[in-house]
Amino acid sequence: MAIKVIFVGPMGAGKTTAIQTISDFTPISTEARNSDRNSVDKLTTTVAMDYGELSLDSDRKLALYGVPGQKHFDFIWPIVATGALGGALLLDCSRSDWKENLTFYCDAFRDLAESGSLVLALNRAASQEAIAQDVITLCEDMQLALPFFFTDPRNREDVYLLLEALVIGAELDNELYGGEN
Amino acid sequence: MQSIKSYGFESLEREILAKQVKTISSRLNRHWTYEGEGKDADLVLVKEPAQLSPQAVQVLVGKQPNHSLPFLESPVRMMQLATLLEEYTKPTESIIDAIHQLFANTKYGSFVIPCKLGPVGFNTVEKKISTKQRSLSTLIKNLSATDNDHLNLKRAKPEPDNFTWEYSATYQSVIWHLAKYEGQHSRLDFAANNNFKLAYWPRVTEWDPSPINFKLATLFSRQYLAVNQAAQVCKVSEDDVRLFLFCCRSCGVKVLNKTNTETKAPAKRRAVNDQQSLGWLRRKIKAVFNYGH
Repeated sequence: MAIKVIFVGPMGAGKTTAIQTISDFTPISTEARNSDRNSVDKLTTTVAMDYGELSLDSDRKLALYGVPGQKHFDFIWPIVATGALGGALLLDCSRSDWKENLTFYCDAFRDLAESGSLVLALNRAASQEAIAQDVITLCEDMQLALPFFFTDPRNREDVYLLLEALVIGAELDNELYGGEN
Repeated sequence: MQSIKSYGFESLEREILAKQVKTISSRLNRHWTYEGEGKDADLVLVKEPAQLSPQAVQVLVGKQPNHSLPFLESPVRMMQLATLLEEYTKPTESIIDAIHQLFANTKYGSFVIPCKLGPVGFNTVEKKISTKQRSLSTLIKNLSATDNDHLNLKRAKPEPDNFTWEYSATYQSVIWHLAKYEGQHSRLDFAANNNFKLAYWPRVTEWDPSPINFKLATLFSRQYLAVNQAAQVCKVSEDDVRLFLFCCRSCGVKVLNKTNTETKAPAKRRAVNDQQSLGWLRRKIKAVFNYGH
């Protein structure tokens, strides 16, 4: 039996790294040569999906899906999001377009965001106070109060913090609304 | 922070007023901001007497009126405006309010204010508060013991060269802990059956990390909820919930309030059927963070 969490966000935001950090095995990746080095300067990028696992007990696991970040793969996003415990939206805040990405992906994963099952992972944030203020303003404009954390996807505790936020949300839903939905 | 608006001003007048308020504000103890045209502010400059929101002080701009409204000559001059703002500057109501005032303007950079139990450093650019004492709790005790009127820029001294502090904390985590300290000794005004929601995420994992704060933050950032319901769900007392909301509000997080609203699941709430797996995942997380709950 498996529950799943998805990692979403633009190319180069750290999704593959986050999965690698907590997966029990080297994630199955579908990396290909990056043909868009102007957008993000990295050699390879995920073209279908990353997949990792975290075993919970002998027959239970948490499936970790990394969704390809390029916008032309948007047809796959709702399919992967179906049935997920929640999603982590990773953003590279050193990029000039991180704010546009935040609103774009919140909109693309609106169901997750509105159900409170989307958390924001802010990576490479140099001035955290200013970035926090921007996140608050953008989220208020979208009428969302999404949990946000300054993270490093290479850091195990940071990735677990994202999982914890999703687990708390799910636990509270069960506590408050039980089998309503 | 106090607000000033104009009512019936031309765009050029508004532009000049904004610059004047900005200049004057940096010289006053309390920060004033010009918020454009409107009827709801601490102070509203009007061309003609108008019906304003009840809390607003109306100031007539133009010719000397034959009634008792506060008055400014037109065009508005800096010195007159400064005197007026000084006159209507409210005293700080608490030590938290006084600290917010100190951080309202970054132009002063870093400075030291002598407090009751020793000097405290304020860095308005890096948003940090520092102390010669060695812990957050002694810093909180020091600030709490200081008269809030003493915590103002008139008593600020420049930070000496090569000065080293023993302990530094972010401005908002200090505010959080001050609120926690003060809130424990006050009656907090969050009615048990009113519904509250946080307008945005409070950074509790940085300000005061604890499983309960994480839970309450998640709960109140997702939906409106009554204090008594939150207490039940999180298995804490109603006073703990009030204290949490008070700390959030003190840190500048908007706490929205609705009376007589039924708590409903947001429309697209997801059901988690596999609760056993969720339980196992919770155990795994606990192991990583070494939680004792």
